[in-house]
Amino acid sequence: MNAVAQPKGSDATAIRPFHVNVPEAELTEMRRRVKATRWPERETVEDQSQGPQLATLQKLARYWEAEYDWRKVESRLNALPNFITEIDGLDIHFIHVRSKHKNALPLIVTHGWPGSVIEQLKIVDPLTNPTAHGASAADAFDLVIPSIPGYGFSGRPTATGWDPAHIARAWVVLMKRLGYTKFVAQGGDWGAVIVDVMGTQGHPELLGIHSNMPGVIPVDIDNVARTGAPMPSNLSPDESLCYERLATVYAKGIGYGYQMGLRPQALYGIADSPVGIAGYFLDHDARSLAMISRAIDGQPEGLTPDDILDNVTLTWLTDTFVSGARLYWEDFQAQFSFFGVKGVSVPAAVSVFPDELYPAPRSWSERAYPKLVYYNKLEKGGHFAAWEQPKLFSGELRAGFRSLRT
Amino acid sequence: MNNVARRDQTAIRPFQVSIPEAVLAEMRKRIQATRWPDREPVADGSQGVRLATMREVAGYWGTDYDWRKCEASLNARDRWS
Repeated sequence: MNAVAQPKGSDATAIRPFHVNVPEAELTEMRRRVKATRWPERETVEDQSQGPQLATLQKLARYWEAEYDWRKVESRLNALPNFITEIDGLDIHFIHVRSKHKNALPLIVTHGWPGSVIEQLKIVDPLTNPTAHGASAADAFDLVIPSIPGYGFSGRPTATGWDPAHIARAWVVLMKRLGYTKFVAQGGDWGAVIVDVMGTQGHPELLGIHSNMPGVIPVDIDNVARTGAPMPSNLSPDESLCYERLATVYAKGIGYGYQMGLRPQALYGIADSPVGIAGYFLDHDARSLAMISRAIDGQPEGLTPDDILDNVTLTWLTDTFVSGARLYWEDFQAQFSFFGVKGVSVPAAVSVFPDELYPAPRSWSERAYPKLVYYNKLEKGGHFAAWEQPKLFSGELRAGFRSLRT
Repeated sequence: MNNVARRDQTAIRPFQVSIPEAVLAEMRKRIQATRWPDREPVADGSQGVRLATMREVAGYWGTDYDWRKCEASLNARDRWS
């Protein structure tokens, strides 16, 4: 990847402007590899129960190789102020957009897996420029969107230790370096784990968090769901529904999480193949796979084939598949539950999108977040809420953080 | 690869392995074109097969390894599909 950052000066903690500029030869090589893909035979079932279906991947690959235009998203990235700064010896990339409105609330938003800052591009203007989107100037945010270590344009760690707790502390360093002494944090997927952990670390600068994959599952319930034991009998209807969905996730999904958590270095073949990355990334969870497959089949709803390919292409071009996978390994070492209660002490806001891995009940949200300031169930949207439903998502952040403004 | 359908599907048909040279050339080309991830950030095999090990295997596989030896030993006695 030949993205251009200003050279490091003597001060590694300087904030350096950054531009994305992928050489044409790298795009040509990617297309060559897409076209040269050796495909397995068709799945032996009529549905997605074995993973992304062959026809879906082949249709995406044909579009990718023949028509997809990386330069469009490159322009969108470069239209925003991008920077790199070094934290604990690692280059951290981030987008930083200050609102024109005074008293904007500083907000750091963190992407997940399989993701990148591309997940957040659609929410930049609604959050920083609310009056252009039918919202009040009083709801404006100064927005920071970092790339997780090992993802996108951030550096790839060469040593262990970049687990969610380390990333959470690094985000506080980043916000303070940008001059923000009070701020809020938001995340989904890994971003949700990172903001939860940030909310346990006692940072006086952190006013509160918002999560769209809230870690609210009681530890005992999480353990039971993971082992496939019968559902506890004392659950309310909302809790039962959440339990059933979570147990299905553990039993039928997130195989990739165990693979990457235990043996990320074994994934040589995927790191070597653009279509390999696409096949793995499409399969985050059953509902996302179904939605993305419909989009590839011509019914975009939330995400488009270009959205999907922007994220996969970024991962290919930055060669970050394995470095991104290592976050799971780090988490397995640190033993943070993806979905379980973590002991958040700061004010918290929760948005429940219906196609998220599990619908967090209000009861468990109140127990997990003693200072729950906002809880709302949405009518549509899934795991990639910021990316799929940017308008709804932006509204949730305005409403969720409103009571934390001074 | 080269099993020929007979009228009686339950017949036991002799089988020989014979991979076209072009298939082997394509495999070597792909091995040599591998894009490698970073070295593992641990000093053991706890994240999976280590990069140096894989590169050594691939270095031999893409140049000196001879599939025909394995093929010959498979074909050395009567083999039945």
